[in-house]
Amino acid sequence: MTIAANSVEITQQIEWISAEQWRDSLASAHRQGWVCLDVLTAIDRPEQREFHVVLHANRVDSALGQWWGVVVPQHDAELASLVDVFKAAAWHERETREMFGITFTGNVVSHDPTAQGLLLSDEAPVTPLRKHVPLGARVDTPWPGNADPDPRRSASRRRQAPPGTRPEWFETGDGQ
Amino acid sequence: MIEDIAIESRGTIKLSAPDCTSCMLCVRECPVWCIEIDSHTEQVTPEGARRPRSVAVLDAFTIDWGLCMYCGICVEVCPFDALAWAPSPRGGVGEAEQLVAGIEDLSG
Amino acid sequence: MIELPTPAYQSVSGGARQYRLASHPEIRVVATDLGLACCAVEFAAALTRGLLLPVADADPVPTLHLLVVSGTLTHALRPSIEAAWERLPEPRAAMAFGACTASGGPYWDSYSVAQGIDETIPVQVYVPGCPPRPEALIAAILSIAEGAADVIRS
Ligand code: SF4
Ligand code: SF4
Repeated sequence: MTIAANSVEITQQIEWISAEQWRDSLASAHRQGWVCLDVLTAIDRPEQREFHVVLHANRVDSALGQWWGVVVPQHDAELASLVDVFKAAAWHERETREMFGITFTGNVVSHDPTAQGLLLSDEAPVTPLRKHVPLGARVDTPWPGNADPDPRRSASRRRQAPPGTRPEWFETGDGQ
Repeated sequence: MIEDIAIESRGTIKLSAPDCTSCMLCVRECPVWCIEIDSHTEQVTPEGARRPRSVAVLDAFTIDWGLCMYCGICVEVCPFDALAWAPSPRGGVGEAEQLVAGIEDLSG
Repeated sequence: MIELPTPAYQSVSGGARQYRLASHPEIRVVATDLGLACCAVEFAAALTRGLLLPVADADPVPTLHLLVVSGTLTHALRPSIEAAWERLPEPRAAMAFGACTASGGPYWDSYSVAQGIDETIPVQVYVPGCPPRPEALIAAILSIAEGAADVIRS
């Protein structure tokens, strides 16, 4: 994962694991001292029709942290739960399920279709962190960038998408 | 009280209206859509020139400080240095609507 | 509902977070820190720089109780800040400290964030910034004190 901070690149390696090995590899990492899970989340990659599920764990005997990642196909968005490895995974997996629609096999709550609403209200959109799900306010609010003082320039101007939006939000009514 | 803090750190953004050409770059790059510009073009013939040329006239320029996330992108993209960070923090206001600052406020 | 740690004035020693201006001991505005997200570190910065001092005990003389709300208010937390406001004794006022509390800030487009705390509690002063600097907090407390002179200097 590359994080650009003030143009200094902080690069942390992600150790990529296959979906089949996900639980066993992390159990073995845990045995080797990576015991403190602090992040488990997903990244929607609609063009690749996949998710990246990423996990960050720390040691307690040193200040080291490490990333692990797994590719999960969107047509079969299911992954083994890590609740019996890291207790903290229960919350993160539930959240990831709610935000992205990924199911974690073995996480009782994540697997229960009635267990909605960890963080989202009933009015909230379903799986809001999927990129095709529009931020409603950005679709409904007129973008101030549409204005142009110079009519000749606006005619020739290449249409720019308003920042913070995706083109598909404007193509269909609900962006689904 | 604030001399020891870098001038860039979250004071306010000032507009130099005469330098603004209404190019709209800041408006279009602002991630939270909190800059709005209203302007029109006029034909002026500078002394000695044969043909008139069109110039943009700035009618309104607002920043909604209730939305601005102090990212500084507008300052970075302005090709004419019409926007710049200034050190003194903005004060509080009594009504949320007063957080929308116009040309006069931004130039002060 | 999630209980927020803002016991308004029952027992200050019991963990309430209430402060007054270091520079103006005569000004009886007691600020209660209700931090919901990152802007709260600026309140903390005002403390570590000595601009605000903890209040040792409930003041018997007339005092304006000021709830300083900083950070992003999600819809889920609205009942909690409402409860914190209700527990604040009169005379009281609330400050929206930072863009999120003023209008949702950079999360104006969010499905989960309230468009400002004034949908939930009355706000006397809105302080812009993302985050504002500690000086802006002090200036806003002073401006509130000016507006409430009759209450706190009687
Ligand atoms: S600093 Fe404020 S006005 Fe400028 S681009 Fe960022 S959010 Fe927009
Ligand atoms: S980028 Fe600069 S010149 Fe262009 S509209 Fe904005 S302030 Fe004016």
